[in-house]
Amino acid sequence: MGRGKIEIKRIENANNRVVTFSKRRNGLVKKAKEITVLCDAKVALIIFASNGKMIDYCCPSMDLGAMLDQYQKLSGKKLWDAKHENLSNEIDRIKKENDSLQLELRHLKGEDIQSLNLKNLMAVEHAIEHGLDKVRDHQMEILISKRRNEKMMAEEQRQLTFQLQQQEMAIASNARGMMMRDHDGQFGYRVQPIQPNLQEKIMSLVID
Amino acid sequence: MARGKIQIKRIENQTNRQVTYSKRRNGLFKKAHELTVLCDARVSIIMFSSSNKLHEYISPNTTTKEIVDLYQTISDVDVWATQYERMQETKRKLLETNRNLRTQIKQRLGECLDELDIQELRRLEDEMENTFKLVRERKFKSLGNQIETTKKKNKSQQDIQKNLIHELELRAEDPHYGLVDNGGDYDSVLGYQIEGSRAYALRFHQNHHHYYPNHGLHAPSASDIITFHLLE
Repeated sequence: MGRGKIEIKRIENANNRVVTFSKRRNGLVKKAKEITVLCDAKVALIIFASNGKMIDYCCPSMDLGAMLDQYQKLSGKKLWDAKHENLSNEIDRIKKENDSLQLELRHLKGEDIQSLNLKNLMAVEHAIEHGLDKVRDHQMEILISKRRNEKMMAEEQRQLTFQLQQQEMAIASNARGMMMRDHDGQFGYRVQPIQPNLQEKIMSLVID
Repeated sequence: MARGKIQIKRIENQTNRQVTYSKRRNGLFKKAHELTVLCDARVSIIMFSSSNKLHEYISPNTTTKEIVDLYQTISDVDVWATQYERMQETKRKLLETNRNLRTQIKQRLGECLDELDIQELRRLEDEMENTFKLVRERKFKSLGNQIETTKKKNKSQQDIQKNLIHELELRAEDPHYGLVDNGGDYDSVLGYQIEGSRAYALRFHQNHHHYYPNHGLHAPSASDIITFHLLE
């Protein structure tokens, strides 16, 4: 342990001062650790020597950033830079705005309206009435658009059907043409064998 | 000084733990101060108790912010990096919430409807119709309350007015006395002629006329009668 009491005033001898700093600094860190363990405390310790050297200790349960953040909240003193302060202020502003918007939405949902006076109730009623008109108009637009699409598709289908019929008729006409040529070309030779085939073709056309 | 060695482990007894915390905290701050004085050191201690109460020591020759800034410079560490990221994430979430709230509000005002399909529009319409009924009911109730209040005021005013009128009527009915002219009927005038051999009693009935003895001779009928009898 110590060897005699010393006066608590600046140590003038530079060498002695450095030695004392080193010993006492370590003792301070040791005691900081002890109180952390014994008492569930959170401690942040930063020491700068007169020569600019630094030693720091932060308890294991919380990092220094979180410690300092909590310090700011509890002490009211700001340690961080302007950009952090600005971001923090902006967050507060958005929170307030969200609270305000939340309340407005609740009114538009018919909630929490007991506290509204007659004038405000009429304003909300008017807003909802106006909104309802727009919603219905929009639904009508969608339905009209849908019906128009259906008509267009029906028209297109009709045209396609017509074209198909035209093509079928053209094919049928070609078939008759071919049959006639065949008949002419083989007149003298094939009169008897063609007759049953002719019957079949006529029946087929009638069915079509 | 201390009385016996203690084991460096968590003190289970809460009261003992608090007492030890208080004593050791003060001891720590004292030693920090000694280091400041003896060795020109700059010391910052920030402590939170288990109940999150703040205590700090800062050397008189510096400030906490100065120490923190210097710490960051020397250690090349941004102690706020984690906090900053956390705050940015918080802001992002808040902005998303903000956007959602604004969209919902706009939809209930009949805007921003393109995002909704026909089923969603129908559901929105139903909800808005319900809200409309609720608000209208509330409005009529509020209106009814106002009407009731006004009626009560009105009745109160009427009662006051009635009282005033009644008081006026009471004053008006008080009898007051004065001269009453009963029409000025004079029943009779008697005249006697003592010197003549015949005496006549004359009676006049002149309702609605005043009889003035001094001017009696000028009254036409009275004058004629008197003259006639006197001459005879």
